Amino acid sequence: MMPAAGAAQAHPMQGPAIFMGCVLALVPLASMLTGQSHWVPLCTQIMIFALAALSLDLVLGIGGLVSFGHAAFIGIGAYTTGILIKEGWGETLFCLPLSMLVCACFAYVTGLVALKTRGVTFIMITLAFSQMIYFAAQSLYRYGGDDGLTLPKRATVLGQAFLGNKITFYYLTLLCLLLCLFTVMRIVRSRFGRVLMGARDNEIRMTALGFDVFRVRLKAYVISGMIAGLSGFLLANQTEFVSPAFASWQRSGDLIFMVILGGVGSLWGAVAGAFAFLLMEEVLSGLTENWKVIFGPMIIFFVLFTQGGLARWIALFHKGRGQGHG
Amino acid sequence: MVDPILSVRDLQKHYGAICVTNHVSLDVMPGEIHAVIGPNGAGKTTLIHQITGHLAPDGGSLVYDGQNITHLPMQRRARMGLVRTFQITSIVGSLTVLDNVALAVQSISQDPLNLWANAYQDKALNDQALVYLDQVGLSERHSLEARHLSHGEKRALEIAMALALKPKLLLLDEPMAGMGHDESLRLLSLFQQFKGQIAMLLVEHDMDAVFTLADRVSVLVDGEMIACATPALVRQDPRVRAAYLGDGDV
Repeated sequence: MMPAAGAAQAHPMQGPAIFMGCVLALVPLASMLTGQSHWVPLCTQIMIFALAALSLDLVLGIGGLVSFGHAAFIGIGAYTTGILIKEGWGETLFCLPLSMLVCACFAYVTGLVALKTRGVTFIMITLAFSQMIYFAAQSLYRYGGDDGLTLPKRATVLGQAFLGNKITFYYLTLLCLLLCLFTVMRIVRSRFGRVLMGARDNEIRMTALGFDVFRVRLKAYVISGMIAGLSGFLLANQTEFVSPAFASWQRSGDLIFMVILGGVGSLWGAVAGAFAFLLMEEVLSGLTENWKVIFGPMIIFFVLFTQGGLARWIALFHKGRGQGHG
Repeated sequence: MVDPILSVRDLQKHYGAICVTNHVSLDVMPGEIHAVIGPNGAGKTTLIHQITGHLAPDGGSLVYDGQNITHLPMQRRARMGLVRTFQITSIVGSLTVLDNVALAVQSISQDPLNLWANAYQDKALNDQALVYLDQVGLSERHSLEARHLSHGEKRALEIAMALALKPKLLLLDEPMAGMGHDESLRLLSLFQQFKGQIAMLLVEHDMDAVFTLADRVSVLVDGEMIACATPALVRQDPRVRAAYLGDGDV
């Protein structure tokens, strides 16, 4: 493995990903020993957002496409799941693939339009599509409209209520996160990923080399939408509630922050960024009611002084240590 | 009679009232080096852009290798072996020199967009890429990030990428621009080495290079093709001398 120092790498580091996986696997044990029972649901929720941030990092970090509407996929995944459970079709083996399929279709159709544009136009058009989902969710009167929909229960697995158990659900979420993380890492290192990244740096060059950049981006956008849809499925089950706020533009903005905090294009950084973002939020909101006054400037300072995010710190540390040995 | 590899017929392009390509017709024969010269603003790069598919012409037709390509997108033309280099060097700076060429090899391989296998450790791709790097004299620099190359080396890298696409026709847009003397000479001998195997359409300001390499020279002035002949004849053409070469000692 080549250690790359830059933020956006052709060779995402596996070490930190494995390390995070090990630490996260121990959280339920630590929570039991210390009696901090809220750690498990908190970490479950953070991992769900980490999954969405990871999916965003594939298009934003690797593809260079700043999607400002990624929460729409969480919303679509969550609503598809919520509606199916409410209507008595709450079987995971049916719910989950369908949620991801609906997200894939939404990504494909909106991608056909949005990916014809570049830069600021792309940002605005993805925002517009996600707002459509937000308002569509509000108008679903049968499913709670503005107020959202409280689910009668979680999805079942082969008719069994496995997902009702907090610990089982925690490990299922962790498994989904790690599987997606390693899948996305593989994709980035693949021929497809190399073209996607090449097009971020030099689109005309990739076209002149004979690659259909539009198709490649569309495929990446669909893959990303499906992973975010998976996070929507998990979120609906965890909170046993779905609401239009899942697809709000503030949520999309949070996802972008998580990716930037972690280090754009570093993949595992998106996961670390989600933890940093949501843990800070958790701690600060426990201290004072006006926590956003502290949180906002903190984020700005952090982004200003750690260009390349957490991933860059780790990479520099890694490099320095490597030179010490050599 | 051999069919031309590229035949441009009556090509037209306007920017508002300005006519940048005025009924241009031109044939490139297989294996031929065909130079296009002309003063700045004559429409040479615009012509290249239309041949590669970067710009759509307003009228006329392009036939490449027996196929009408006038409306084909750029990436399709590239995969057919109609390959260009850029006037302003165009590489993927964050990838290594080897990876840049491997991308080109990958483009015409069996499975150019495989989603799973590690592309960077693909021996078949990398070995082939090294062969092309060797041809342009860059094999020792293969593991360097491409943005750290010197200007001349970047140009050479571009040529390696173009060669890796197995071109039938190379469109070279000022390949010598900004190159040092030695680098120019090396590039010149490289082109000479491929003369007869790969047809080349060469846009170039370096007249020494043009007259050394070209089998035929076309002269473009204000979007119009005013002459097309062997280098020796073009030198003597009074219209060319007046319009472009000046009346000095050419």
